[in-house]
Amino acid sequence: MIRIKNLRAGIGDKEILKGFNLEVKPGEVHAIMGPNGSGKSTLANVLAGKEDYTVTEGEVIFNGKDLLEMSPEDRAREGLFLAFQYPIEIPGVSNINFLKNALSEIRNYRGLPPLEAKDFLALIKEKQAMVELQGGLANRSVNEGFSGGEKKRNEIFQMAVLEPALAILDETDSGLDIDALRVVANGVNKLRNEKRSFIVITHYQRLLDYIIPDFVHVMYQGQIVKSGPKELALELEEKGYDWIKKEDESIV
Amino acid sequence: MSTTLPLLSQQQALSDAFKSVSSLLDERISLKTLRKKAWDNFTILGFPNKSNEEYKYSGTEKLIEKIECWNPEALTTVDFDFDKVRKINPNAYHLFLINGKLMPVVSDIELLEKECSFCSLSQAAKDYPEMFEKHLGQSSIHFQDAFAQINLALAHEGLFIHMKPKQKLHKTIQINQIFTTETPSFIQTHHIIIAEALSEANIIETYWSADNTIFYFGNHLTEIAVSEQAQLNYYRLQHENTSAVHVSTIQATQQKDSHFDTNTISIGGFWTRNNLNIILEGKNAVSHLNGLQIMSHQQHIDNHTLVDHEVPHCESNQLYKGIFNQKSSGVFNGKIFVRKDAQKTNAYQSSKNMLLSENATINTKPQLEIYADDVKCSHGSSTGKIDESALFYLQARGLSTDSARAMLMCAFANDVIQTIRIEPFKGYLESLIEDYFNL
Amino acid sequence: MSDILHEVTSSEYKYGFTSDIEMDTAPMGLNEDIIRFISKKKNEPDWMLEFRLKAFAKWLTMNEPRNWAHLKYPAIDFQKIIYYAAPKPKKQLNSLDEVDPELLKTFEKLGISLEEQKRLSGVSSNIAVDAVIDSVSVKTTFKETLAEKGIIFCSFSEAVQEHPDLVKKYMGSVVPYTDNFYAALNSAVFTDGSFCYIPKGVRCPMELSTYFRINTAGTGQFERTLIIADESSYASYLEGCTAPKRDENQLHAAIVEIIAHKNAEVKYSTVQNWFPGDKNGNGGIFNFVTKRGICFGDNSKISWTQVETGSAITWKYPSVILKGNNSVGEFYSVAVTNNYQQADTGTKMIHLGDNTRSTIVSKGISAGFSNNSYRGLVRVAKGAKNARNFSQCDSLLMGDKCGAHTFPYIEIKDPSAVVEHEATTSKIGEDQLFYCKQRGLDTEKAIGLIVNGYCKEVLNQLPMEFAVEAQKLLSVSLEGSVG
Repeated sequence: MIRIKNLRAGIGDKEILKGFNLEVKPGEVHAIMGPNGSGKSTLANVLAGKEDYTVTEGEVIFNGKDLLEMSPEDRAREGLFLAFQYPIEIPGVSNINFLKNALSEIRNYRGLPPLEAKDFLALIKEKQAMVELQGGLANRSVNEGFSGGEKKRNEIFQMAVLEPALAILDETDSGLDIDALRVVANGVNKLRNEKRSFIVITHYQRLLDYIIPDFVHVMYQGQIVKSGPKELALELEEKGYDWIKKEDESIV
Repeated sequence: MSTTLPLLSQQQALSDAFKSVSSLLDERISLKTLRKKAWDNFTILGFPNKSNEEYKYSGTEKLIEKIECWNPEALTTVDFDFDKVRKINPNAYHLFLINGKLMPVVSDIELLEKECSFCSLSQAAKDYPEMFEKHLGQSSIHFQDAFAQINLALAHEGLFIHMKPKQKLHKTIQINQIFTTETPSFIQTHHIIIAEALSEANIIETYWSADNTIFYFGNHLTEIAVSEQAQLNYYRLQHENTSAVHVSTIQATQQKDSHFDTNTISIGGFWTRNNLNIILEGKNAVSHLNGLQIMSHQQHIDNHTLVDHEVPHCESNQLYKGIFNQKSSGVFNGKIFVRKDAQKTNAYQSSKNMLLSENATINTKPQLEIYADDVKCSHGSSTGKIDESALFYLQARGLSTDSARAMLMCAFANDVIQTIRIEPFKGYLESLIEDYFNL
Repeated sequence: MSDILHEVTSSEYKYGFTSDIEMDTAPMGLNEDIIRFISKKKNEPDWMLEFRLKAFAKWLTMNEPRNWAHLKYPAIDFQKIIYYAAPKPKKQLNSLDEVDPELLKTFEKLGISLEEQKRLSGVSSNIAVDAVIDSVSVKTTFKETLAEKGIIFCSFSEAVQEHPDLVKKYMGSVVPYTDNFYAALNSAVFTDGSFCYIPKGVRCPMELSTYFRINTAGTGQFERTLIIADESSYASYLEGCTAPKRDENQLHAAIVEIIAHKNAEVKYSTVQNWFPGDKNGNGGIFNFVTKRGICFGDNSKISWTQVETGSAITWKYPSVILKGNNSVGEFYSVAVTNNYQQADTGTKMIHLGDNTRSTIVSKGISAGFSNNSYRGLVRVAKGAKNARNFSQCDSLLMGDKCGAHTFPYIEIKDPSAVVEHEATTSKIGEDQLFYCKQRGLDTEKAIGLIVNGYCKEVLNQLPMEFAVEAQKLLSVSLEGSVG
């Protein structure tokens, strides 16, 4: 699905990703954990193609193509979806309209005609039910006036409609209460299948009680410093990030 | 720009005044040239009438007609209760000026001289010629306003205050200007205030009339330079009699990382016009411009502000509030100008007014003129009456209508007063306003 | 709605063609003889000629206003303009067959059918159109249908002949010829326009529309529109305009007057798409328009909605005089400037009656090297009790070579007034763009979407057909504005 090799990137002169490596196969769920400032969100934004970041070294192969060569919209059309840590408000543009445009673009890229209005509405209805999004929210402006939980749920709803090959969840759990977290996780679990992969970025282990990962990686200072099975998350929760930091320093 | 030239009889008197000032002032040739240029500018502009967009609501021709003397002779004493003014802020260096001329006997000159360089404007031309020339008129000459130009051309009384680099004044400087005249006169003063890098100072300026009925036309210019990382707080209280005309222009420039706070409280005066121009020349400069006007009877006040964001990453904030009773009228015209390269500018402006009578008027024109795209600029303006539900609430708690109204007025004014950082002065203003509304 | 964005394929001004129609024109220049010539051509009664001559005499004493608006343009040589151009032959048209086929084609190209049958069967039914080319009205549709309800909808020239009393009574009553330089000019030389009268208690069953087209080179277009809504009546009026691409600037100076009597409501919508000039700022229309309505009777309402994407220079302040008690004035505007366009536009709300209300929503978008200014006046007269105004002026900047300016004038002489003004200036958020791109939209589409969202409050005020056209226009106008 995606192979990241020795990725170095940062903002301006400040290098944040310092030789990051990861391979995700179809159907796998990888969790990336790490303390604040370890470069988790940078990784998500670099993969999605945010212009503020400069990549200085390394390669990312996504579905056999050079991801770093692509524009942000082509990455999305190739099937990469980023659930934003802070979803953006777009006043005056309804969620439905936004998604209809996005879906048409993605389908067009893949040589498919746009969905008929009736089919599109049926799709929306189905996915709305899946993420327990109230009908009203779909008709409101994109994220405008949404609560934190509604915004995150809306991200999962968009993901459900756009059906990406690889979804990156950037701290989707931050700011969610336990009920909202369960809803979001259920949405993700329903979208799991043998073809679709996930990279779940989180600071806390809690989300991983609901979205069970195949692998857990610990990120520190722009690199993965430890990888393991899902139990690693529990171990981290117990020992805290200081454990990793100390271990990392002892290696140095 | 359409203009009115002064009346013919006055034109001659004005020219004579300019000639006598030119010959009187023993200044360098370059300064003489500058004054001549300002004079030429003035003669082209003429005193503004209402067809001048900048004076749309505040024509000056009728007021100018009343002037009989253009270059009044200097006075040295005046009958005035100096202690009353000292009490505003006992812990300050007080400087008293009569028609712009420093009165050494009643002023704290020696104490202040220990802290910073300061003297009369005319003395500065002799004692600090380089610095004087560097600052006099340098930015004001480009401000196409008749009053600034005639001040540059003619004014020779006022103060020169210079804060050395890193100097932090221990006490506030309080400049108290007193005006008096027997014939209706045109009285001009001109200050230069220089805050060098990393210096810090608080300056208060107050304006008073020596008696309650005399008419005079004051025209004041203050040129301020705030250097890198300096902080200057400059607060003014306009408390002249209700016959006086007061025009003042503040021309301030700010360098990198500097802070400039200004607050103009206007209660007195028959007709007042304040031009406040701030040019942000260095990155990360921050300005706060606040003002409060409380007017009644036939008083008129016109506040014009201009914040010119020339460079990126600067911030300006404005809050102007006005309360207008009886037949008084007010104007607020604020312009935020963001130049092409001034990205990441944050500029805010708010003008709020309350009309208390059927015959009061307020005209506001908050303007944004923006040539950079990565900016956050906003302005808001609101005009309304007293909040009836708040009034009712207070009455329901047993307050009389009058005291409830007074309380709400004070609360409305309080936002502006609270921005003042000098404690005794702030307290004085609070009680002044309470007294004004008989609270 | 967003499908519209897909249709957009080129940023070329698509209405820039010229039509080869045989024209009858006046000699170039302006003097009393020209005015007499125009009046004679139109077979006008003496009172009309007198009105024109008085206006002309006044105009001669006035100066072109050049000081206060935030606009820069070369002085206009008023002697280098042709003040009258009409398609030949000029005769009473009885049926569509008599209209020059070339002319019909012109309007077909613009997407406006003058054939009632076609319109009835088509998608955009129920719009009565008065088509004005250069100086004259060429065809008014649905006249008979409207006449059944007592509605008069015809060309201005026809109204002068057929309804002189109404014209005499109302013409110049809202915008007197002394009002301003361009109003005086228009009053002297106007050639045609639309006239509309809705009788008491009638709700106009269809949208009324005027379509303006400048065609002939070197001409100015000076039309005037007069709309009278009698007591308890309602009308919705649409105005559209296009012009060919030409290297020279052409002048358009129109007048629109609206009178709303007691309980009447008039909604006036404009999609202004005059040729804006090319990418380098050559050519384009100079658009100096005086539009004003008066809420004459109690409980009346006038609403202006405008989407301004065209013209090299726009100078326009649709206004409402709120004379009747409880009357309502509204102004909703989107003004887009790109390349070297300049717009100085806004409104005036003059509160005179008691309990009057006005709302102003202005959205300015500047791109390229353009300058876009909002200029508005809210005046509450002494004794106008309980007036309310809310104004919201937002500016969006795209690129660092353009300017966005806000010049509101607020004049209040009554203590019971509550007037609020808010303005913001910002740029299209990088974050919003990235978010859209991450969902698969390219830059142009993302901008189209964000801009349409930003303007939604205004676009929602437009009748359906116009809203669609307006959205298309917004996207086209801004193409290529973000590199």
